[in-house]
Amino acid sequence: MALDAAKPPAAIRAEGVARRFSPGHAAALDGVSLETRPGELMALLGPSGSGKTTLLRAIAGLEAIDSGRILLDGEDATGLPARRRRIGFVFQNYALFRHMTVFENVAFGLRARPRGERPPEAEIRERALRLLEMVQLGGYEGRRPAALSGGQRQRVALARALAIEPRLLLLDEPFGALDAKVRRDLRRWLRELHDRLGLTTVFVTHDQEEAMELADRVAILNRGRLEQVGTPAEVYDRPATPFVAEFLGDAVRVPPGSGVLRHAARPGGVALVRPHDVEVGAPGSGAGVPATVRRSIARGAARLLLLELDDGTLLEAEVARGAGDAEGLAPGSAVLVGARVAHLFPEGEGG
Amino acid sequence: MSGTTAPGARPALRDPGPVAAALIGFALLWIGLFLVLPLVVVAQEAFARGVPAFLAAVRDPDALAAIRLTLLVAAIAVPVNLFLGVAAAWAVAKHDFRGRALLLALLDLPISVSPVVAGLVFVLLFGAQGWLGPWLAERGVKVIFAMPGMVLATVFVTLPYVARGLIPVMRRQGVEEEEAAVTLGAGAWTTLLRISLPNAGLGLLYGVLLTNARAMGEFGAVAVVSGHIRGETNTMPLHVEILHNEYNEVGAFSVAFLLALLAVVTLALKAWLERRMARRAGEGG
Repeated sequence: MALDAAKPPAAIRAEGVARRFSPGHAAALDGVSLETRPGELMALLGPSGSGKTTLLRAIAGLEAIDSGRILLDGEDATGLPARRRRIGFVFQNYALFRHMTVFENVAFGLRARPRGERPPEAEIRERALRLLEMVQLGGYEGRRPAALSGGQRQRVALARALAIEPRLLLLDEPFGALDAKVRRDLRRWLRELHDRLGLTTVFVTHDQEEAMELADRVAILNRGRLEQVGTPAEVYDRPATPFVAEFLGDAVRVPPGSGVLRHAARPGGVALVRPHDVEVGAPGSGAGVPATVRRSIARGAARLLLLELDDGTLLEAEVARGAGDAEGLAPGSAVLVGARVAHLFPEGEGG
Repeated sequence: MSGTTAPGARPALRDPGPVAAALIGFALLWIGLFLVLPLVVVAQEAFARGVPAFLAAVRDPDALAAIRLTLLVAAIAVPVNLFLGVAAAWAVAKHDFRGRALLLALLDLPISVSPVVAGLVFVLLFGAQGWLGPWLAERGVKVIFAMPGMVLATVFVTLPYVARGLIPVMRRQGVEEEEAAVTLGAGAWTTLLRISLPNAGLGLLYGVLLTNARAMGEFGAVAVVSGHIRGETNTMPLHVEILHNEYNEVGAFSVAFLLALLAVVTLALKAWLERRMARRAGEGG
């Protein structure tokens, strides 16, 4: 991106952020640098313990950092207390104020303002009710959190965070506590809401499918380090590290010299092949190396084949199921296999 | 199975009839002997010579002074300990700092140390021969054998109850709601008053009631610093002892009956508030 004087500063810019909870233990964050683009929806993706929640909390000011800087809208906010950051934060378990009604929850941020900046009560009321309307909870203002479903609580938490007119929105595992159906609906709804509000939003998730479906860009963390940032297509098609390749969907490690690969990897390196990138053909059909089908599993629209190459290497292949499916693919059948795409990594990269 | 167990009780947890009956019988007997019977005896002795004798004993000027002093000491000690206890509980339960474990341990000191020792410490500190006594005496402040000493002793003895009632409740609730309040722009004061304390409602109530009960009933520490000046530095428990030693059984039991009544009222108040809060929490559900 070209430097432009008129370009607005990034809502969030993390520079070498590091955090270690106790000496002797691995760092929760080990020098993470990251920048958001205005108005984007970014996912922080990683396995548990990768530091994604710590990073989110550090941005919100809920977690101190040992070194590095956090800039909000271009200003250094590293030492700014959480309550002055004006960041909307939605907690994993929503953290609704249990003794307050839904309305009081949403109005809390406005009522907590110092007297000079506090809007008049009528305006607070009007704003809170409008927000509840927006999250489709009109009429629920008198309820208590205990009387709401998980999806409703999550929307109250969102309305409460939006009430303070935050400069950006952070969500910690926003769908973690919901069941599958609600999760899917809420995901779409959140995406639409984000597009309508245009607020820079970062959410944490360990679910790669959720990150890929929802986010404009995905930041993948592992062991406190940032592995890669990019659009869902970029990180899936061009993983920067073996970890990213294996974390985003299935991938099988293949010996670098294997005939399955069209281009041999450097010896000592790592080659990863996704099952749907493996071509399976009948013997004599063309390029490829011979293999034997060990198992054949029908899985919805696809068929998963467990293959064994002549040198003993095990490989998975995913082929479309259609008319004539399973023909010549029964266990014990001889086939030819080759990788359409393989991800090659030099030696020494963790995974 | 016989009809002794409630319908719907978990079968695996159902004791065989005779065992259940024996356990329940023993528990009832125990409670009756050690809790109900003493109360009955106190009431019976208080009214042994009829209601007029009881009223006369209670209206005795020394008894009235003791009642006033007891209520006054409790009225000072409870708010002071409410403040100290909330501060200590909030610090310990919601924050992490150096010396947290030490503070937690120190909080238990007034419970683990004998009240008599506590009283003696105050005499040592503020008495005529104590460290601060002479300095205070020069300025006309009398602590020992006077009201201030009794308040100090009571505050010391009842210090842990509010904090001890609050800490488990506050810990169980974690800090997420407090963090949410902070991200919404609330300061520490707003967070404490509007989030932490209302959430700890029952724990707080429990602590205050225990503090009050103990403050009105405290004997040991107050006995040491009081000097037993009739009509001046006698609280109700001290007054009961004096009357008892003088073989004034009706007088002793009449004041004791009032003390017991205060305890019963406290318990009833607690039960009523608990019910009310449970109802309010269930609203909209």
